[in-house]
Amino acid sequence: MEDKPDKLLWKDEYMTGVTEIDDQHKILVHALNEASDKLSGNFQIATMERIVQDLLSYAIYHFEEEETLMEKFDYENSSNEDYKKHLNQHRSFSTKVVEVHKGLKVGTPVPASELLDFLNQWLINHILNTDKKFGEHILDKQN
Amino acid sequence: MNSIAPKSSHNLISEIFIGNEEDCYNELELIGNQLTDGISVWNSDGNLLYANPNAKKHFKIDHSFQGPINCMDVMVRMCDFKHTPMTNKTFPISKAIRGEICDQDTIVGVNFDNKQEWFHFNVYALPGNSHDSSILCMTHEVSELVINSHDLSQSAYYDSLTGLPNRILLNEKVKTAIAHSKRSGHMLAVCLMDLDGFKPINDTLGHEAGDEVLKVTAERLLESVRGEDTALRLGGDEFVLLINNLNTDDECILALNRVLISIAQPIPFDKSVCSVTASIGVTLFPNDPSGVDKLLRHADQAMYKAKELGKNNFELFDPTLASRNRANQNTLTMMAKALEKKQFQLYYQPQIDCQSGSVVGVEALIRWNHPILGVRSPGEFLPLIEKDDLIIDLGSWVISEAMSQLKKWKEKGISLTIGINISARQLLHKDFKSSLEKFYHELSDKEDNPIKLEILETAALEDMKSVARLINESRKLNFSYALDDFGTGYSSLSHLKHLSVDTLKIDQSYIRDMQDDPGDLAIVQGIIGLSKAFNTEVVAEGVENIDQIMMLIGMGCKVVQGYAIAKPMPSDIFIQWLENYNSNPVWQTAHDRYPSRGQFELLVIEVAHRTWFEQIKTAFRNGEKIPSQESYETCKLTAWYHGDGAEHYSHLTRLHEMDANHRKVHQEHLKLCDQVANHDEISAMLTMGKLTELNNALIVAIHQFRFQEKLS
Repeated sequence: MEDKPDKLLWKDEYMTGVTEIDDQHKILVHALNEASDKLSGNFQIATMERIVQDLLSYAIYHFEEEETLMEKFDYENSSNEDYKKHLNQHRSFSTKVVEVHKGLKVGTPVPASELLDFLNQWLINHILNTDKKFGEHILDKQN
Repeated sequence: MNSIAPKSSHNLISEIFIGNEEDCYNELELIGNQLTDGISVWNSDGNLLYANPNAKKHFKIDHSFQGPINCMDVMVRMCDFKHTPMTNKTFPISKAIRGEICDQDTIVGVNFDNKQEWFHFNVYALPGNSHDSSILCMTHEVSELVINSHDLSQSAYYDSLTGLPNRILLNEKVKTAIAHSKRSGHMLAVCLMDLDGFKPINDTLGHEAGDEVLKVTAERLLESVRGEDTALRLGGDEFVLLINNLNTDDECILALNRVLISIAQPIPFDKSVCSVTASIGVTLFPNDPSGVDKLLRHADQAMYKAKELGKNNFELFDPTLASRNRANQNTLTMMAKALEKKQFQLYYQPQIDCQSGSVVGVEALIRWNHPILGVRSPGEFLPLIEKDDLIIDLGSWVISEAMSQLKKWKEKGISLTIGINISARQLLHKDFKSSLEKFYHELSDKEDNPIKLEILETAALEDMKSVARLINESRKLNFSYALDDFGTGYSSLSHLKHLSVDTLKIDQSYIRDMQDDPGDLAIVQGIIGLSKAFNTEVVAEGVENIDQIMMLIGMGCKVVQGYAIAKPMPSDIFIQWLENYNSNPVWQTAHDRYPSRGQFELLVIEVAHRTWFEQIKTAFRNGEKIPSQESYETCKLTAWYHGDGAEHYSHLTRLHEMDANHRKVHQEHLKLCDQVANHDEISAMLTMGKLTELNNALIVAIHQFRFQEKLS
């Protein structure tokens, strides 16, 4: 990658309205920006390893938070389609990050640009669509 | 208002002075007028009965007062020694009226016309009936004394060298700045600054030089910030800077750049020149919404980072980064709790010896039965703890869990070896050997230790010497060792010689890709060869289909593990699987002969041809465009026919028949491409049928040549 990609700035339109979720989304946006910054140009494998570990950790605490809320607000039964789609996105995130991690371990790293593209797309789609829908569901139930 | 009290006070006065009331009264006024102290008398309602001229002066009672004067009217201008405004609760006259203690020598300040005067208050309750006693208040001006003593106490709050407020005032100053930021809606920057290169100046040029540097630094700090900002010296070469009224981050960055530049200017001292730079850590309130202590701690963290990043710069504390670190830390805690709550579970994946058809062992694989996220695989959570001691605890749990499983299986008459994965950290931990001894003593059959410790090749390479020593020392405990994911870690032959392992496990990525990628096939072949050379067992991991098994058997690897046999299963399901297990008879036939080096090329060709044909079949089934890049002329089989084939087998008609068949395969393939492109579906169907038949015959023919004795 030649140029540093633009920073993804946190915008109000990313908000789901659920504080716990929004706070963690900010963390992911932050992690993505840091990854874009550190993985452009030459970088050490250890840097990418550190970033991938952060992402794996994120996949556990963030998805746990969201999926706990899903249970609490009965998302599975209220909107089964959305629920399944949402869970699939969580799992595909983990699968991709595990794949990247394995690649690092066995000395055939996935190109940084591929990881960043994946994260960018996943994050935008996930925050703007999937999580927003879920956020609306929670706010609906709370009112 | 008269200086003479109204009539109601006459009774009171008669109690003090004996004699003619009028005379007494005049006498009193005379004394009162001459006294330098203030005398005032207040009734139980707090109304003023009498005040001499100095009392009026002290209380600032002038002509603007109309009607009866209450002590509340004068209290509003008063404060205590610490400048806290007086309240009904603390005002000495009010307290005395309520019958509380009469304060003596209390220092009270009066604010008037922006001037502060200080008085000693002495308050006395005058005898009378308990409900109606009056209060005598004597005031004595002590302004000069108090202001001097304030100056004295100031010196405790200010640094004598630089004149800046010191550490004692730190909390108060930050608190005030936060309050200001909240009121004004502007940002506040809390900055902690440390000088780089200060100690060497003290050490080489002496303390006077050091003091000069500190003095100049303080001046420069004050010059580069605005009047409403605050600079403090914490001690040593540490300073705090509070920058108020910021609208954006950029304003703060600008201000700090000014500070950095100004501080980095050389400082002349005696005949030499001192130079220092600053490292500054900054946190911005309210973006960082912490309290005083935390703001300072965050600025401190950022300062250390600034130092780390090469000094003479500043680093902004990032609350999101901090919460990310906190969240990561929480994940660790979560996993430690999961271990406590027994949320981890072992799954078992069987390993089959294809030659005998029997199950020879299992690999124990950890799963996290997460109450919310379901069953998670180790790739998702082990990397999070691989640098933490938690992985050692988890590893020990795995061994003891596997051992108790072995015991249960033994009671059912099942005896298998069990492969257990050991992390690098656990393996290299100083207590690992003694924990192995402990496990060894728990074994019922110590001669026949069924535990095989699987070490990642990459982990073994981290510290080859220690791992080799560990393996050798634990030999007498009869543990066996396998190198896991073999082929990924750039082992050299000499490494293998030093690590006397019992088994090489071929990494699954090579097995997965060997049907498509002749390079991966060559690596698999190579590892199998190594295992023979070093007299170790070899196990192929991640075997997904029967073709892979056939190829592996053909190459001489007889023990396999993977989805083609069974997925990893919890213990109870594994037992059921084992009871219903039948070996596949096809395996036996595949294990006929090991291909010679020359025939290996033909194996690669067979693989390539098979894969090529599979792609055609899939495209046809899905109604997609048929891949057309391969032709008879470019096919590797054609090259083999003219090369190796012609050299060794030209006397066999089968060779030329195979070539004719091969040509037809490619012809039919081209025909199929056209028919599919022209949507001629019926013809395409017929061609596909013919192509399948021809290709099957071709594969059989290639297979025969692979096992044909060469004509030498």
